[in-house]
Amino acid sequence: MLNAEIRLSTNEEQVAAKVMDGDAILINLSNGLYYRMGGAGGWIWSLIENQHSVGEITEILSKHFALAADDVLPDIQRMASELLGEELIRTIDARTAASEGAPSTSDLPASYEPPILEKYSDMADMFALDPPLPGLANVSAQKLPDRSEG
Amino acid sequence: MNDWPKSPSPGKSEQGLISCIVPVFNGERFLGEALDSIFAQTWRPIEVIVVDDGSTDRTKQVVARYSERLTCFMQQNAGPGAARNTGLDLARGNFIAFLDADDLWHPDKLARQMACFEARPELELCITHAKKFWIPELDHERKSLRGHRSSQAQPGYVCQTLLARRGLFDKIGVFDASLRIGEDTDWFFRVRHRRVPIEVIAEVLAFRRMHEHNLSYSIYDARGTEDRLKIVAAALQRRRRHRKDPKIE
Repeated sequence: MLNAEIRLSTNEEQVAAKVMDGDAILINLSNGLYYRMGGAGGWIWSLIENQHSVGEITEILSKHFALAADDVLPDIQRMASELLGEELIRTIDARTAASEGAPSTSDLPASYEPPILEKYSDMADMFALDPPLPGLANVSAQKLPDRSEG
Repeated sequence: MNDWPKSPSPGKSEQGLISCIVPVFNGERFLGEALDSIFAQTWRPIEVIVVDDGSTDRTKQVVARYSERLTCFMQQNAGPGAARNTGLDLARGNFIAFLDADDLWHPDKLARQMACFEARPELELCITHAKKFWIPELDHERKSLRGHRSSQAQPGYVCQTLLARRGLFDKIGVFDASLRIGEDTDWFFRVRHRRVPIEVIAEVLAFRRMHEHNLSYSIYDARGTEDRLKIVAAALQRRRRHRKDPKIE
């Protein structure tokens, strides 16, 4: 189980993500797998984007939903482990401070629902032609505003 | 997601007219080569439709060189999805193919694909493998990507490789013109959701040219990422709707 002090960050170099209607939608651009984080997952993703630790995420959720931290912590640890296993997030130096900006709570469900992570592989071959390119910045720098369609 | 209904067999003797749609925006540099690779196809009959999506360069002059052999339609710039849809509106063929203005086909591409349709009467869609190639100015990128997945042949779930029955667009729908990037990925996703019979020819019969102005690079910018997420969100929504009511496709 992950220690509560472990600080998390999104693996933004290879993951595209967006929180929509309370769910987080993630694409691992390196392999074309995509994911839906449901339940409290969307909010957890937003907190990871702000580099919160496992303990901080637990505290924020347990306070918001008026739950005991011990009830929420195993869910956060499980979800963080799954996300790490899929290489969607990474651990960072525990001394790093989390961002101060709090994610929006407007999409939060009224009651706590444990986070879930659904994984889909039916797009992998469709993204295979355009995986993330190493050193792309060198190419991008040469681009002009008007692009041909191709 | 029911099994896809069988289409009437085209029969061995059917000589299907293929509409080859070429969307172009400021494609003066490579358009001629793309058109040459269409006219070099060993399959006949074909019709070629160029949709000029508001070009401001010398695209018009390039098209003029081929004016007796193709139809050209000009429109205000609306993006590749909209240009493809315009081409579909104009197409008279029983089969549809697309070639972007900077890409190339192998001379036997259409013939090889039509052979698949003749061998498999239930077939609705055929794609081929595709491979990128780089213009000389981007040789440094080609070298840096040597051995990388990006430079290897892959199944081409992109418009440049597809040959589809015209009716498939009536069943699946046309391209989402709101997507600047990945409108073909979205379309292929819808195809897969409906379990459309598809043949993948495991040979490179389409070639994607990588150049400085290639829209493919936009996949990696904010707009491209946004569009990819939109495609995935739509796919998840379709899946959810279908889970609630399996009759909904």
